[in-house]
Amino acid sequence: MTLVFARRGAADVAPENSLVAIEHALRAGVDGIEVEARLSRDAELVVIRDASVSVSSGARDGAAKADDGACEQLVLVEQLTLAELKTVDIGGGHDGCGGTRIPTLAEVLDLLAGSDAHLVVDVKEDPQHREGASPAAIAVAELVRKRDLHDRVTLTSTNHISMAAISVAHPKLQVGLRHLVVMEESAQYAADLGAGSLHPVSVGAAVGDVNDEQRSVMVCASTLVAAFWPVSEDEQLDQLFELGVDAVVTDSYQSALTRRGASA
Amino acid sequence: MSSTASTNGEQVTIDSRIIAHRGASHYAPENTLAAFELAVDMGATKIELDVDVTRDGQLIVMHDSRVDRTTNGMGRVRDYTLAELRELTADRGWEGQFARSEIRVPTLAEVLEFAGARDLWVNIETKDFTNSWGTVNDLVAAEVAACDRVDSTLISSINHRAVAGFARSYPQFSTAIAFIETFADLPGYARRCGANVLHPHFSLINEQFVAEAREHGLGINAWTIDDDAAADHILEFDIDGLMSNRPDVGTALNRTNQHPSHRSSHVTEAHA
Repeated sequence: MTLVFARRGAADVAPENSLVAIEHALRAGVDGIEVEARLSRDAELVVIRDASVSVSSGARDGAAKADDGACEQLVLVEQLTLAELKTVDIGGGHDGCGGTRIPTLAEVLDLLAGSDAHLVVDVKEDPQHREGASPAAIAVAELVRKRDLHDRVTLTSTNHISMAAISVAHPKLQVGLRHLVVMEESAQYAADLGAGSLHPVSVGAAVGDVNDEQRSVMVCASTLVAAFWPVSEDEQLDQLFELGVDAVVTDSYQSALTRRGASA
Repeated sequence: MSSTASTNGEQVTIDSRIIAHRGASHYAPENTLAAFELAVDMGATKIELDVDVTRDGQLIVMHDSRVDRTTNGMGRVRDYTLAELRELTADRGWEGQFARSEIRVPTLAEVLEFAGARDLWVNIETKDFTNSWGTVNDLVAAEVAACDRVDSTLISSINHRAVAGFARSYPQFSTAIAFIETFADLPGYARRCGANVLHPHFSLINEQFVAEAREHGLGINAWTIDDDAAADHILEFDIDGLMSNRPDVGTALNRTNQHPSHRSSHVTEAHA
């Protein structure tokens, strides 16, 4: 059976990657959630997709105060402390969600404790990091170990060097390799790096993984939603269910749940 | 490493490592003879293009699998015969000198003939994710061989299974894998793909990346930068090529004076 993972929670009814959105998706009956995680300046893991956020200058410690009132400014997440990030309102785009805050990964894990859903944590790493595990990956691994949630969480990244290193340092942690290209002999590659799953970010990339004769790892495929991509998400879900991937990660979780129900 | 050319009577100097991505596609309709001509006029000696196949099995030069974005037609390339495709104009979105009804979708044969006459180096990118490219592989290999252009052609794709298949069938060709991921043991992975050249997204380029690739004799062509400052930064590294929609990207004159050591031949000579 193909499992259904909601990307960034129920982003159709609440701000993506918010606790409300995750709660909503869990209630809808998804098998799991996928979120992005980054490190703040004070080494706290926060759940947010974009590398930068819009903050008012008054909210920043040590920031030059604006002369006349607050002024919004785009700042890298890694340059802000957790306290500063917690002043950011991510609820703007959704009715009745004003005042929604960026959650920490710890808060998301608290929320998941009340369910049996799986969590995929896609850690955003420097593509030029070429030695050992990145600080963000280490932080996720430590948190999962502290909470004893090894069977509930998978850590993924497009930085396979970091993932290979973290799987050596934390052998109990489930590690996955995210990729956009169609890989050659991806299952063997993943196995060699100690990764238990592949996370292709498009149907095409998933076709390569599923058709690998050596397939021994889980294939957890994401739909691709971008302005330039000509294929609708529903069509992509049809293709992924037909391919028989182990899990789909999608914004259209309701539609995917219907397909899962029909094939069960 | 710089080359000069005259455009509109003005003398320009460009870095010879620049690969004109879909031709001079910032200034002319992408993947058309007009864009390749302009690239040459601007001093480029390397061009990049994308191929697809028509319903009647002809190779044409287009990036998307659908004609909608770049022509006045609609639908998938594979549903058109070559004759039908030739009726479309490929100047969609362009005004002025390029809004001409005679700009058509070129065949691969036409572009190869154009490149052969000007001794250009050509990177042929095969785009389709899901297709195994069996037929297209064979067609491309046959056409390039027929033009006697194997030594100045590089076959690349983000479909690494297709690259591996091509490399096994046609070992006389130079092949490249394009990617944006940070692969572990990249030289080993490239070897399993049968690729002797890497096409990394420019964000992956640093000293370590370049050193590891060079140690294993791999060529490096980064993609795709149109910003002058970003191009200047990447061209500081020992890379063979940089794809840009602007052949005149960067401030080549200054860089040439500062870094004569970067004077090197292009990738098919250095890493074939």
